[in-house]
Amino acid sequence: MKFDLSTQTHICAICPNMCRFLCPVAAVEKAETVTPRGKATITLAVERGEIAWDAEAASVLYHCAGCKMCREWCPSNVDIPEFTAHLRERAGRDGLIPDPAPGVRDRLMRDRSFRRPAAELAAGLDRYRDLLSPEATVLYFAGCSTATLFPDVIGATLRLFEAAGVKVTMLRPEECCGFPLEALGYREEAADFAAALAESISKGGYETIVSGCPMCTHVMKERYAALGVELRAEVVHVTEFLDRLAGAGNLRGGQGARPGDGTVTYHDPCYLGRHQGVYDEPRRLLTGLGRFNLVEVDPGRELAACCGGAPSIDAVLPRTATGIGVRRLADAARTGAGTLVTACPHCLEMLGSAGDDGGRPVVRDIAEVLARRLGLWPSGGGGRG
Amino acid sequence: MESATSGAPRTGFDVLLERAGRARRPFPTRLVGELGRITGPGHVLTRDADLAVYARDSWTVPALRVHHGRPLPVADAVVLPGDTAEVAAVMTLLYENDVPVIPFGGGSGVLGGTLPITGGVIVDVKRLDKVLDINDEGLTATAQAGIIGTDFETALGRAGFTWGHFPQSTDVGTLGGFIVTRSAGQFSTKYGNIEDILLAVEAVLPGGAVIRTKTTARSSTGPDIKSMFVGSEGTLGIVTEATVRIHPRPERRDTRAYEVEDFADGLEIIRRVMRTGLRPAVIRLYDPIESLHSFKERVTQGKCVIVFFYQGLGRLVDLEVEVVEETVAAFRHRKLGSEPGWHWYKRRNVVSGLPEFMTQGLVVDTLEVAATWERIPALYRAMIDRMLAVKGIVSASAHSSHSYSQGTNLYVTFLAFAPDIGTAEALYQSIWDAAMEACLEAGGTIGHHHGIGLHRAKYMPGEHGPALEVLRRLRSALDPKGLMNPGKLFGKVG
Ligand SMILES: Cc1cc2nc3c(=O)[nH]c(=O)nc-3n(C[C@H](O)[C@H](O)[C@H](O)COP(=O)(O)OP(=O)(O)OC[C@H]3O[C@@H](n4cnc5c(N)ncnc54)[C@H](O)[C@@H]3O)c2cc1C
Ligand code: SF4
Ligand code: SF4
Repeated sequence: MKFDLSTQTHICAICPNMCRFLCPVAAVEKAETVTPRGKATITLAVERGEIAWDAEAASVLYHCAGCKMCREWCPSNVDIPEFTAHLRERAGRDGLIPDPAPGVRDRLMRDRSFRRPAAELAAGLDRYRDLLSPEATVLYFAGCSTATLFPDVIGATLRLFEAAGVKVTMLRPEECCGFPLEALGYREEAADFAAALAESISKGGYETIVSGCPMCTHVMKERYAALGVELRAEVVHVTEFLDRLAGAGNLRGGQGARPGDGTVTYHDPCYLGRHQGVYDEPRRLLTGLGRFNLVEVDPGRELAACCGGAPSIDAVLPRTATGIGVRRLADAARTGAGTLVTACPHCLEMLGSAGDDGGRPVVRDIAEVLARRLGLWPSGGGGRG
Repeated sequence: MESATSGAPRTGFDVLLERAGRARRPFPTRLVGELGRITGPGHVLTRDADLAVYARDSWTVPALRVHHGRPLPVADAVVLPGDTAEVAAVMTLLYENDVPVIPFGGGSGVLGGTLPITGGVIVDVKRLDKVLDINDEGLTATAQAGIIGTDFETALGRAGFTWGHFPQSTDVGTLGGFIVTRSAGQFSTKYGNIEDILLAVEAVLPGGAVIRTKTTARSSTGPDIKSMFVGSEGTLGIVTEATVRIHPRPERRDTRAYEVEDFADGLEIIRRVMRTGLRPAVIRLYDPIESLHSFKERVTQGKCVIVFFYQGLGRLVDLEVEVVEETVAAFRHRKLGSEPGWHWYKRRNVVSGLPEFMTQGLVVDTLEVAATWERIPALYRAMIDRMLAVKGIVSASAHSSHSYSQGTNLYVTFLAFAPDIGTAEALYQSIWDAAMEACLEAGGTIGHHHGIGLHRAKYMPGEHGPALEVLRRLRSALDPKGLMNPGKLFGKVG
């Protein structure tokens, strides 16, 4: 169904809230207001001018992780994240975006990066210079969260590319992809970052952009066009790219790894799974290339619960976000697997810090576990991260 | 025209229409502050946005009003206490200050039970969401009342159990809501209804006292106190915890469906099966309209589909399948195999048609009645005929979905064309009146499992006659100020 705000808000506002049990924000906060139907009700009331469009009303639309679970479930194909995106954008235009989001924006505009100043991150990337080929047509876009919090993942990913014989390069400095701004409703600012990136891409003549951050690949694949920016390159997540390489026989299982040796479980990041439909690639990589024994988290794949790590919620409602993370960690812990693998730096950060340490599986990025499994990391130089 | 009930006795429905859109009364900020001191200020909601969302449950009339942009009465505040002690403190405070209290679970009620028609404070219990005990030996489980049905079942499932209570709204409604509306699950033919499943309750009475009934296999110690809360719909207090029966997870599931000549044959088959004492988990018989609607090309136009769904001990499932096959064999029938049953199972909680119809200018609603076997065929005809006689109705159809040795229920769905809110509300009321009157005349009970709420309260005197006085006195004894969920169940607004 084509997105039509009016029909969809009407349908959802009179639905008996059938997907509410899956909404991670409603599960943590409990109030009806933040359920999917609650958000549709507010959207409808705001659009019709029945309740004042003010900071209070706008703040309701920030109680959404953008996890798309409701969209996945909804038999009427209602798309709540589209409502919230629509109204967040309006909140942005009207100066109604709630705290602390304006602070996030100001920092981002100043630093050109979400986590740490882009220039500082660029300096940190120097150590990977040997693994890069400036003439490459494949651009590896690390993303600021990976660069700040999990620099090892960059090294591991580059080692995998090297092993597969793929030449890649990186942008230095690498600026924000615009996701946090877009998700929070700062359309113009997001468009500014998107345009800057698009320009670097055309200048470099890159044909493919590979990123390990699903937020980056999501915004580039799915939101840039709506921001009026055309990216003249194919965008893929690292798991999609590695899966292709493995499928083509360019990446082979490591000597040391025996089939079924080592049990891991896998958390589907919302922005990779439900947003981009990438479910099979990481699993094939783990069981095929990595020869891990994979035990599934229940619920997984299409109904995998959100971890709360996305800046769309974590940047504005950190307590709710952590509550969501604790619940997801419990799902993963129930598998009994010692290692929880995921494919998103935001999930890594949330799942690696939410809840008690006791009983928590070790949380690892997929590129890192694969590179270790294949004996490519941390040995072999190129920086220790 | 705003209402079809002008001139009729003043009911909750009239009050809803009367009060909708009135300016909110000022609510003392002192009370907001005191509520916040009990629960933490983040758990007291007074924003317009919150109050607009809490202005309704899942009843059709507020849905119509939302769709048509018509106002609804709103509460003064919403409070979300975190445990029984907080519920008690909130109840004490509100009762002392003469503030109406509207308990709120999942808002899946379909009769306006949570509508704050007199203002007051909505007490949402969903923060009381913990499973407190799963007792393998005694086969009981205790949980807080605000847990969503599915979350409770998931927790039980992980421990190897089921509670067998699955209203179609199990993903939306709460344990407490299921108790106080006297709900029935889709698998009730095997596991029983909530009154059979409930073993004990903890509740906070108006004024703040906390009571807990004893968990036991049975007792002979006077009238059953926990049962007074079953069906009380927030008028006697707030249920905060409950202990229920549980069962080991079923060993096997199976299903068979048949096409039979007509609704009467289908009813007779169910009656004979129920007389054997066997209890298939689900038996659903659809009239010709619903058979076609639900099973499309699988069924011959004009015939009826009957679905049996079995679960439990493997050997018992085999026996049930065998006995049902023998029973059906005595009637003209066509075997449809297991596919229709699995189709039903997969889609059993999908109700997307209802909101979609409503956005197309149709009024849709469902109502459920019951009677003893000898009355059911006539009750079915009388209700459908009387409803179809209302000008503007498009269709009325029914299925039977909860059966007993003594009788069964009829779940009736109607559709009417009403492009504007005035026509919609008038038509809605006329169709309901026709249905309820026909039901009472044919000796049926006006409600099988949705409860009474605001909307059905006006038919309560017809249902109970003088016996209603018992409920009224019970209520005034427990709630002398009449502050608990005003206008619901008894229809009189103080
Ligand atoms: C799609 C759909 C399908 C449904 N299917 C079924 C079905 O198969 N079987 C069935 O029986 N019903 C069904 N219902 C009706 C509804 O789900 C039930 O009435 C349910 O029991 C309501 O639970 P709730 O928690 O949502 O209660 P609410 O709607 O929040 O409240 C219902 C009433 O209970 C009171 N209340 C709620 N919680 C408490 C508490 N803890 N203490 C005291 N009072 C309280 C409220 O004040 C109100 O009067 C269905 C509804 C929908 C929308
Ligand atoms: S998103 Fe779909 S299922 Fe969820 S409340 Fe809205 S209409 Fe209902
Ligand atoms: S996108 Fe996720 S958080 Fe937002 S309303 Fe839907 S289920 Fe809830």
